[in-house]
Amino acid sequence: MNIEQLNLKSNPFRLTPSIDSKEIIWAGFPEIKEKIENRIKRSISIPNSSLILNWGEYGSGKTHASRYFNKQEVLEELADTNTIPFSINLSFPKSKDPVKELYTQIIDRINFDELRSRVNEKFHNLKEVMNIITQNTLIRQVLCLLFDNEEDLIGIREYLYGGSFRKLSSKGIIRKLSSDNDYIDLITSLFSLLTYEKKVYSVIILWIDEFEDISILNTSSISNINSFVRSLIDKASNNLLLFLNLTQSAMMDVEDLGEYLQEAVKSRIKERIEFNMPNSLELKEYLEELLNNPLYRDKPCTGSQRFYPFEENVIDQVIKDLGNTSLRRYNEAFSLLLENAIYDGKKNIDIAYYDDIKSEIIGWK
Amino acid sequence: MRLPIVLDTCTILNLLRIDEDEFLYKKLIKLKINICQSVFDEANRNVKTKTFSENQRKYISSHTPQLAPFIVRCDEQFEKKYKACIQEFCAYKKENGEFYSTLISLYLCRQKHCRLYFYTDDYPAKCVFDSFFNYQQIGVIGDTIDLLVFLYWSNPDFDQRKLEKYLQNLLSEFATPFKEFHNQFIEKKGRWITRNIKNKILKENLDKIEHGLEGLNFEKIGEGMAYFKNDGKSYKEIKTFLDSYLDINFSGYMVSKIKDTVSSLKRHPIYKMPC
Repeated sequence: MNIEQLNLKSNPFRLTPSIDSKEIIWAGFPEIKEKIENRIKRSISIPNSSLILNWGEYGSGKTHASRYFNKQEVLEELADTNTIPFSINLSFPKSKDPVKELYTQIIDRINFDELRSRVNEKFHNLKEVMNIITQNTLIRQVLCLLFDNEEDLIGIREYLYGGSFRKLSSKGIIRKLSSDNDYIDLITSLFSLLTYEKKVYSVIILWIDEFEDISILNTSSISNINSFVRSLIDKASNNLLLFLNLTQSAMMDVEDLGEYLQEAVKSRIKERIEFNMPNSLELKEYLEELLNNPLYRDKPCTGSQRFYPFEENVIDQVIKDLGNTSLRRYNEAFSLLLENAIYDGKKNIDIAYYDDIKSEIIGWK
Repeated sequence: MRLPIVLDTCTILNLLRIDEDEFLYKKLIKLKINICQSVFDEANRNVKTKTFSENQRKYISSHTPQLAPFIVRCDEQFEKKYKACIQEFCAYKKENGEFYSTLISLYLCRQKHCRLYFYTDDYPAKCVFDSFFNYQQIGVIGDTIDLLVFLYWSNPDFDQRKLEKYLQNLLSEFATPFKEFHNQFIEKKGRWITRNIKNKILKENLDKIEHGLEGLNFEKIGEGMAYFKNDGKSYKEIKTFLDSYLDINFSGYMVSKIKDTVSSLKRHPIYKMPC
């Protein structure tokens, strides 16, 4: 037996979010979705920068949310008739040089060919705009070259990644980018240019995942990360939306965060969005939407069959057995139920079958 | 009176990896420190093999050779007799740094007529030799966290802010591999379960490790890991993965102890004589 015989194209329950954006869908949890959407919509139309904390336990969907709201079509829909945002997903830096690592991740994520054509399409007086957005003559010159169609993009990208300035010295680039200040200045000036009068992009959205890892950095890296966040908000004071994903754990509780964030950063936090453990209603809403999403099922099942191949009382029993736990644990349990049903040739997952294999599904608690 | 201190390889390396401008090193060598030849050799050898940043490697390797004057050699007859005694008492066959540190601890204790401190971050070794220290009334076995606290209260220029800084930097060293293990484990767990869909005990033990990692419950992590290690034939891939993180439970234990110490410092100050 295979999964198609359960009227599904593939197993919808994942333990870790997919990297392929086509496989990232949103199911259930309308309140969280709305809160994030509102934040993004607000930033699309209003020119100020905000810092938002997404807070929840392991496996509560924060990473998934960051990937979902990075999808081009989702951002286009939120922008409606406005200019679309430019969104980048970042992993929390693991090296002893965290600012450089974040900077490199940002440069890695940017398609400079596309950016060049968009910038040149929107600005006919680029130098004037540069003069407004930064006083730093080196950064100004780097950005001018970056968006000059006559210049070889490979050479400038090499320079951005820490390559020698010698090849560019005749064009006014007289030193290497080396300090954290350089990286921050370049990033914030680039962001300011891209969102200037919301012409190329309406807002830059940065998601930093696993921000709780700030608690396992050494003291100098903690200080550098704080400076990075503070400088981003200060220097790109318009049109930047920064989401920090934080997992609440034995390593890091909500009260502990204050010890790692400097006052200057804490005071910039505008909202805390909580990814709570799902209750029974939320979970059933999630399951119904997930199982019947076009990604997994061409024609949705409705009425008493809306959770097919699961019977509703099985779902109630799993919720009762697992209790107050994370969405990832529920995904794991339903995934196992589904895989077992395929293995045992069961087309309908009813309470008798669940009781039969319950110990394999729930396991040690 | 300053009591003798015996240092194990991991404590020397852990202290030096978080040191800046010889702040800790200078305080350490002012104490009555003692090391055995194996520890001296291990420290100089491990700096090349363990995972240090380039700066740490440079710093450590410029300091470990300077510990040569602190090497202690036991009387030959004593060594012969008590090596066998420790091996039998502790059912321990390896002749490594921890073993010889225990031997010189006994020797120094009797020579100097005083109890002493042996600092090691090797948790399994601590468990093995604890009973011998207790039985022979040699002194106490502590770790780098205990040593940092001692350096703090015994030095007027070592303030609480600095202690918290060094503890955070030490935490970072242990927590980074712990977090990496956690992330990799979660990534692989689903695949291991799907491949063994009907194996209830496999899932049960993977769950134990996951719950243990999330709640810093080392007993649970240890139980789960032991199951796969004891049945390496059936779980070759899982065992290989777990073997690549041999010290993970100890890293977690150190993280937890540092967090508890930092948290206690806020509520219960460690008494320090006013200058």
